[in-house]
Amino acid sequence: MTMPQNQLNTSEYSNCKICGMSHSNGGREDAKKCAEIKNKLDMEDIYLTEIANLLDCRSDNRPFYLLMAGFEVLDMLSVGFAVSNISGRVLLSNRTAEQILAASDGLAVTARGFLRSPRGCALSDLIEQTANAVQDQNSELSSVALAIPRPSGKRPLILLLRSVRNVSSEPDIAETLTLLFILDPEMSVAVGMSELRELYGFTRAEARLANLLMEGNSLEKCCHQLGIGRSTACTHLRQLFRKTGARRQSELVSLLFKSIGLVGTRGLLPVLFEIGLARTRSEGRVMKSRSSFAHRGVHTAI
Amino acid sequence: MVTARGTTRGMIKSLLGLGVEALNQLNVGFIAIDDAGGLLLTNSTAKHILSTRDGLEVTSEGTLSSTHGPLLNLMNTSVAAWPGNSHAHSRLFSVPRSAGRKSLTVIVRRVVQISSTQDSDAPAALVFILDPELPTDASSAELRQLYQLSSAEARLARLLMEGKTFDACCEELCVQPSTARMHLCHLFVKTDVQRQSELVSLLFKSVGLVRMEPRVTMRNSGSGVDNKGNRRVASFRRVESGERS
Repeated sequence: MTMPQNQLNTSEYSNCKICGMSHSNGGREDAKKCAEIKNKLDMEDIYLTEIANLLDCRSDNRPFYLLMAGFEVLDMLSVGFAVSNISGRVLLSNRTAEQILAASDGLAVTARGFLRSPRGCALSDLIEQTANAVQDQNSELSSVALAIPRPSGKRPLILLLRSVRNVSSEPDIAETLTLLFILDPEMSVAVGMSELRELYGFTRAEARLANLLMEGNSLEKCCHQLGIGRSTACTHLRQLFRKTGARRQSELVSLLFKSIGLVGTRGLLPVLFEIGLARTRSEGRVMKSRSSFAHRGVHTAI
Repeated sequence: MVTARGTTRGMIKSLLGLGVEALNQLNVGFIAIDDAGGLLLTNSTAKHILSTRDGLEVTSEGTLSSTHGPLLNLMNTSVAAWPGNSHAHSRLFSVPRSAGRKSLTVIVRRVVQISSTQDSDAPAALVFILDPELPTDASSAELRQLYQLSSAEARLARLLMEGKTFDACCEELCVQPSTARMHLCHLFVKTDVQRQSELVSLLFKSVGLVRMEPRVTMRNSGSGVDNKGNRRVASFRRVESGERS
């Protein structure tokens, strides 16, 4: 997180007595302003609903922490997330989006912070179009998927634009913001071997093969990368099928993506813990998890 | 997270709200829990998974627990029992479900306190829930936009993404294998892949994480039920309690 601490004063999360909105979301205890806000409330904007849900009747600083937790999550995802205003200026971006933008391959940011796409993509027009669609409540146009070609010849970046109307009464932010999801099909799946092994009880060699298959490699390519013969790979593949219950390679890939591939946890050390009776664990592992109970007393928030 | 230079305070708050909206559009369940195991923030996918009460549920004390196998309080065995060493940031659970349904993958990640003041209300851990049984919800419309697929090809692509075999796809789409094979060939050409598993991998990497049916408008917020049914268990208490004419 790179956000100045002094900008995050949380004391303003209290409700306006007139319109019931939190101060942070426009409540001013000013009859005219509040009438306007109530008008906007009647438009029933989903973005407003979400804010209201979060800040709902809580005067403590809980919402702030929650939003920060949400930011943490967005940083952990392997999908790029960014927010731009109607003129295409990037106002917020998560770690993955920063990585993709920094590579300047297809999609980039100018020195002044504006999104730049290759000629012919008309990205700024699309951002404007989706933004206007939301203003006009034309929900058909408010979501656009776009493939952005890359000069490097890699697979195109996938850009999903989704607009939400901003209903804040503050003049500098009373504009439509666009949610951008940026996905890079060439980015490797951030799945750790240890997670694959824990989830399905794969051996090391099987986990490696599973990971390569998730990346979209053919079995021949996997053999080549792992330096093993085809018959060995087939044995591993059969074990993968047996342990996951999948019957085909594409089914296996789908299952792996759905069960672990969508959240990146690489670089984090997961600790095995026995829950239920999913699989038998080695005794050493169980001991390890039991011993963690002893630390309960020492636990403190860092 | 990086914000643009010169971002004002008001703007940051708007952006935080948009972050939450983004979380709701993901195919991954997410819950923030406090030290006592209470649920602080739940995104729409997590709400949906919890509402099925199969695998994970919320107990009467308001904490997460497993519905099958030994009733285990997820919090007592995760956050409160974090080992003292700082290397253990996350844990992986495979939570069994009723017969025939694939286990949930639950990843619990400890939160490093951001504020300098100790606050028990702050989230102590983030819980990610992945449900292999959950449909990926990729909308045909966006698949078609991305790869210029015909509607039949997009339907086939969606089924393959769900892990269906080729034969099962033919059955579900009510087409002859020869027709489906033609669609598949076109899919390969349009997405530039050579194999079915490569196609599935590409689709997941390009559209799998983001739910494809954004809910941009919401007509009946007063009741807290959205037009998509149980996906969102929203409440809009501020409006309910407000003096709306």
